[in-house]
Amino acid sequence: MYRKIAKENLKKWLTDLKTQAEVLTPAKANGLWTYRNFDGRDIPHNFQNSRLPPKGLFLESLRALFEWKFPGGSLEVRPLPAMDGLRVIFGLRPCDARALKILESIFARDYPDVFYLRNLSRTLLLGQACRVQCEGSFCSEMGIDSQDSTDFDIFFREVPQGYLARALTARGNALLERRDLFEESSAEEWNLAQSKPRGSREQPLFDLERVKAGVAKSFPDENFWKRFSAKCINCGICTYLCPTCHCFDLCDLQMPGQGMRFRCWDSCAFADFTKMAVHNPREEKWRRYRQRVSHKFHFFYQNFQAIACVGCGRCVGHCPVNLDLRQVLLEAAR
Amino acid sequence: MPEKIEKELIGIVSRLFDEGRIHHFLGYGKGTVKFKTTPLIARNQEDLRELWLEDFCAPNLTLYLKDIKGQVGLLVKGCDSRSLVSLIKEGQVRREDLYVVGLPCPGQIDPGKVAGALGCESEELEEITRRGPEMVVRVNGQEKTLPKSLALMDKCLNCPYPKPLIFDSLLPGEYVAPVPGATPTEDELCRRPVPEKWAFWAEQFRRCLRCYACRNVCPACFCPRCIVEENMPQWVSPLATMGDNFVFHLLRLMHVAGTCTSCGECQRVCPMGIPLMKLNEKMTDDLRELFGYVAGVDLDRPFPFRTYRQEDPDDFIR
Repeated sequence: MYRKIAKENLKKWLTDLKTQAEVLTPAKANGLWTYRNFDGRDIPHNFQNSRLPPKGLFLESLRALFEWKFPGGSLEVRPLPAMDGLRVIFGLRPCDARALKILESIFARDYPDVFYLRNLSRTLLLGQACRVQCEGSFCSEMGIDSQDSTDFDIFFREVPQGYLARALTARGNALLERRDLFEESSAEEWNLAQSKPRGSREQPLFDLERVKAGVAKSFPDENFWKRFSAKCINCGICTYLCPTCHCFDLCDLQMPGQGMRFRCWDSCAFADFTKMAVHNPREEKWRRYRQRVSHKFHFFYQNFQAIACVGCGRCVGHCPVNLDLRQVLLEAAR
Repeated sequence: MPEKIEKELIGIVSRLFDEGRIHHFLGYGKGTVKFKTTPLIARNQEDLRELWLEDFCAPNLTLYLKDIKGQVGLLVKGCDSRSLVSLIKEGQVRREDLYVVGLPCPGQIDPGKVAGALGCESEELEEITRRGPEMVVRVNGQEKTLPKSLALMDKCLNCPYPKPLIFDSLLPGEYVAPVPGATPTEDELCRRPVPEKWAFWAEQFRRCLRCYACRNVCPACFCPRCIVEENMPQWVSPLATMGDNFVFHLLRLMHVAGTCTSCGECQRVCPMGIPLMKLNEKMTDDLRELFGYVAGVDLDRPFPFRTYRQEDPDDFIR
């Protein structure tokens, strides 16, 4: 279903939605783009993507799982509930929405993770086509179309008069039923609004099939990984800013007579990530860097038939030493 | 960077490799994203082809001396040389193992500051170039000019040590502060009442992800095992809560007091934009005022926190 809406009406629509749901839109806080409660102001035009991926709204950096007490000497364990309440996030980018689907494949398999899945099911995902190719990104190479996506409930395209909207789910259809705000549109109009993001490449950087094969083949090549990882400083930026990285740690907070278990983000770049009582299989940083790349482009594909990278470019743009994943992939595919 | 300097540098380093004087050279390579350069760890003559000198060379290469042992050559800016002095003084590296090449630094560009001055997003900046006393910036296809003081990192403006304090060779060029006489803007926060300071830092540290980029990029943070990673007992929880983040940052601040040379790398790399230099600058000022100590400028003055004096004014230490 296709609709269109004027800019002012979009603001009214989002404002009205606040009576039923928490509405998050792109906003700047402390100098960084993020998603914040919609305050009725204009939707920003120069927003490219959030510094931290929206995964943190689904797989929180810190999540209390259960708590315990010792009333009268016997142990009492109480599970803590997952978050409730409807949410709407407007202005999500196609790369980040794909990442949420990739994470769903992990958190829904074998042991359904109630926290992630509930966050996903309680959220309406409203996407927006990109106007600019982000610095360091390689989304199209990863099979992401920055101008169209089916990973949302509704996908929006900006046009001079406002926005075109395409509903992709029943929930999305229902939201567009505000006939006082949305006008009819059509597939033709939608297709005409197709544009090319500024700064996008004419030729793809690499062929994904070759990258996949190349990363798998490079696994035993110690020198390959040593060469690329030499300048890595073992910080967690690439993993924490990654929309698909999902490794976590479990930590107990023990207080007198009670305690709580938390799940918090962890990073395979840290030297103690795999440290065990007598052995650390990834003591050296080249092993850790190899793991990060191989997990995304090889092991994850073997397990889930998807690549755990959407080419958003956050790790490329924000690496303190400019260790560029694209160069590693290019070299592996050679 | 003029070709002449690049030629000179390659000449020096090639000779060092030839003579077997070094087995690694730390320099800069071409960055793959706007306004960034990448550290280059050259292992031989061949790797020198990737050597690249340009306007952006913020990374403090002395960082890698904790990993790369033995005979190493490296490029240092004036400010980086202070880290080197500190590391030598701390016994982390030996002067005789190093071959230090001084780089004339015209001041490092701070893209965030440029964007702020022009009222645009950093992402919208297309090009920043130097033209005499000005910076020329292209934003969304338009050319704008800015005075240097609004484009360079604050620490660079009236750089106190534009010429490296220790070196074996100096590349040709001018070793002067980019904006001589520029007075640093006083940190408003220092004069605020404690509850306001607390609220400010609570807001900052609430965002910290504990990615440890600030610690890992810091040349002064060379402990092989950091206290935050100790888990028997666990002094600091790995949970990125505001309280534990406070502990981590203040602990680190105290640990590098006297060795932090205000190189600014921690703040430059922080993905959450936490203004860590406010803390470092305060510590630097206090050390200067209370102990008359400036980090990384001499090889012989003892570290203030590792000195005992009979005439110390504080009772608890006597």
